[in-house]
Amino acid sequence: MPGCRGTKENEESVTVTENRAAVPQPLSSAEARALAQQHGLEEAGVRPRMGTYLKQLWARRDFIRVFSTSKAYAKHQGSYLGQMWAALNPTLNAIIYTVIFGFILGTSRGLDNVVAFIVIGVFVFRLIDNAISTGARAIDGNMQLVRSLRFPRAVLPLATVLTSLTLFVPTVVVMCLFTFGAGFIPLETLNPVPLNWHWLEILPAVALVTVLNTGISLFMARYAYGKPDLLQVLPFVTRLLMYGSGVLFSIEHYVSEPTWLRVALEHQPVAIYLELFRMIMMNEPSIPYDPWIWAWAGGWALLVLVSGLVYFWAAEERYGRD
Amino acid sequence: MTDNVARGTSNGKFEEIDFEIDAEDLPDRAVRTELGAPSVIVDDVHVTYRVFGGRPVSGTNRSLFNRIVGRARQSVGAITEVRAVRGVSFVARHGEAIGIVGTNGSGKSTLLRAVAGLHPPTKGRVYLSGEPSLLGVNAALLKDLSGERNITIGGLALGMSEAEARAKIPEIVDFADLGDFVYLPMNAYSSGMAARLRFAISTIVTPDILMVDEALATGDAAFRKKSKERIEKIREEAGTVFLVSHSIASVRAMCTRVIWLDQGQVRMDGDVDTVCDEYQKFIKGKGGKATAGGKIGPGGRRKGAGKGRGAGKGRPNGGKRPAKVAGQHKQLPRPAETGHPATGSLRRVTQEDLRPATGSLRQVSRDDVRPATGSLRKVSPDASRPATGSPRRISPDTARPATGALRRVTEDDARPSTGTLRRLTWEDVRSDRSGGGYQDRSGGGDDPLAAPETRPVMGPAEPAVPRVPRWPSSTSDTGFPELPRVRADAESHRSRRSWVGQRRPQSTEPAPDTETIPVVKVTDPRDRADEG
Repeated sequence: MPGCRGTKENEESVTVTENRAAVPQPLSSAEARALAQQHGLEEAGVRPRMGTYLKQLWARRDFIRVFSTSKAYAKHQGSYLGQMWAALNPTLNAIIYTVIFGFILGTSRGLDNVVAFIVIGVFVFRLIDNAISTGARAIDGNMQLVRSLRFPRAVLPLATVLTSLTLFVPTVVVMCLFTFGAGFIPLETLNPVPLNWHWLEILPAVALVTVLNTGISLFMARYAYGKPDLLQVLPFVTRLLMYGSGVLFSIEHYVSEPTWLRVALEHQPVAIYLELFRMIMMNEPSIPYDPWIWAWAGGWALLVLVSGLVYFWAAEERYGRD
Repeated sequence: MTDNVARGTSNGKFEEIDFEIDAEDLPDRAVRTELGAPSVIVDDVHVTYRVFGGRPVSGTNRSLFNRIVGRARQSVGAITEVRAVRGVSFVARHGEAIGIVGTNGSGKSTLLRAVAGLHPPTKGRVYLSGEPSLLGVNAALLKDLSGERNITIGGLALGMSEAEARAKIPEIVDFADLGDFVYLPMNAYSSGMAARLRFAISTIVTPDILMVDEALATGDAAFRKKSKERIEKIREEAGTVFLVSHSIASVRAMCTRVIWLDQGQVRMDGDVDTVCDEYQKFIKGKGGKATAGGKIGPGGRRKGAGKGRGAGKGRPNGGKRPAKVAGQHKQLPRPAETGHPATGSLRRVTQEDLRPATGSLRQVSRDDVRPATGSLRKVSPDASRPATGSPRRISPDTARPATGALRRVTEDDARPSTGTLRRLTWEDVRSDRSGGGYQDRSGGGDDPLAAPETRPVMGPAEPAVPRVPRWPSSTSDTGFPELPRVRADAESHRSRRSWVGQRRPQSTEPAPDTETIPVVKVTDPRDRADEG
């Protein structure tokens, strides 16, 4: 109701040279913009350029770090054993795999050490799976924060990746122990897993998978934003991905013919990363050390990161709008 | 309005949450600073948001088919679009404190978030001159984490470095008065604590534009005073403050300009008094009784607060009062828990009405409880007067009906008004009620009603005021001699402000006949002993 706007007193109290704003009638859009420009006001909720955005993100690196580690810490806070669960959880998982696949099923599936194969496969897959599912909740799950504070929203998916990584550190230790230990189990199906210099490559491999996860998380954060139904479907998608990546069985197991399907499955990012970790840590004749896997892994990580970042950034101004 | 009350009761934290700013914390009028350049320009902003699972049922066609389909449509694919803000434009300047008022659901909070750049508008533009900081009651941080971590995270999110944020922790803990709770996860905090912490965090860095979303309504009196000071400071530093509140008292006191939103549109925008007056008129016309007692009932209660402001002005050391008053009030709700139906109303009166007016409870009780003595007067001549002289003389039969009525009055109203009256009444009740079920209801504690019947009825050693632990000690030492002066005071207040008439019609009539008071006064001989 424009007629009611502004009063005499109000106008009198304005002692500033710029009088236009005190005019009771609302400004037109053009006038508003001109006034904003004149006084150096910036439009809110406008997506910054990519360079600026990256700079803003870099400025919030402390925020990302503290936020993610705090989240990782809070995850195990509500229990008596507390942070010990960060190590207990993967240990129990690994024990289950060892018992089921080493002792109960007892088949070798043509592998030197099926327990090592599965332990590595499950843990690495779970890290990537985590990036998908937590990335999908990155914005929606932190809506309170989004609605309270202004910061580049990419902070949130990045923080979820870092949270997963923090929780993954004890998992890596457990993974190494069980992979190595699986060689000592006195069963015919389990051959020794020798420790060699390649194991040092676990560190760059984890770094690379984190880059990949960042891309995945950024992508999922935007893709799943405002689509609560997707979160219901997502577990089924990742389950499918698990079978399509050779986590429990090698891909050859399903697709014996070297068709285009097998080639595609073997070269999709998740399968590549499983292959990478197995090739570093295991001594499987079927998984020879192949530098090309590194190239594939690096390529995928870069590609997913860049496309995920651009995709996420392109909707920056929309996060928080219902 | 009701959500306010409901929030309080559901949490059971009346001591923590006071939904009102003590009027005495507030100045009469916000300090007007010179207005600077525009800091916020809002250009035709629309905000629409989606709600899942909220399709209204069409009630006309109730055929079986339609009902089934209606059910299904209600549960599947139900998305409702809510147009919360519909075309709002305004320009805010540096040094301006803008109140945003409106009924529940008029889009105030949504507008604030949109202006803060946190809820991107569906249409329209917002221009800002600096970093806005929105402070809302609902804007929780990470509740799984300790207060310490939350402070660090909050500081980092606001753009500080980690070292800076950590350095601020002691200051914030001190300001929010958290003590050792800072090491506990925030879900262990009371809502008042959490709100205090959020306020403290949001104002770590002096934001260019501070937006407060009814956050002032939380915390105790002392904290409200602190937060008020901090907001003043931000305003002095040429920032712009937005305050969304249902409390017209606080809007009047803290804002220089008010925007009245109605159904997502600006209904009025202008000087604080003009808009507030109009808004109050509107509320009164609209809500009548329903809104009179609640949060958005400025027509009733807020004016009461306004009165308190006037009263507080005359006090010598108004600045020191709030904490003390709050301390007293923390005790007051207790009687309600003992189950006396009447104390419920006593509490209500004290919390909502008397307090804003008080500097000293004593004054208020005289002033405001008077109407209640009116009803007491009606009772006392018939039954209680003969009884009071010497309770033993009265047969239980005659006294009981009287005490029944008398007790109600006492609990409710008469107690605060005079020491004498109170004493008499207890005496009466007790002597009469020996063996009655009184103790059960009082639930022990310091309630004199729970006192054992063996207490000497007339003995001079009997402490004169059994209520002392519950009532400010000042009551006992103001006896009657002071009464006329206080009442005169009260009368002048009453005539100055017309609010009393709107709140409680019975109190508009001149104070009850003075003759009736002496009736009570003469009765107990021990009074004279006390005075002497």
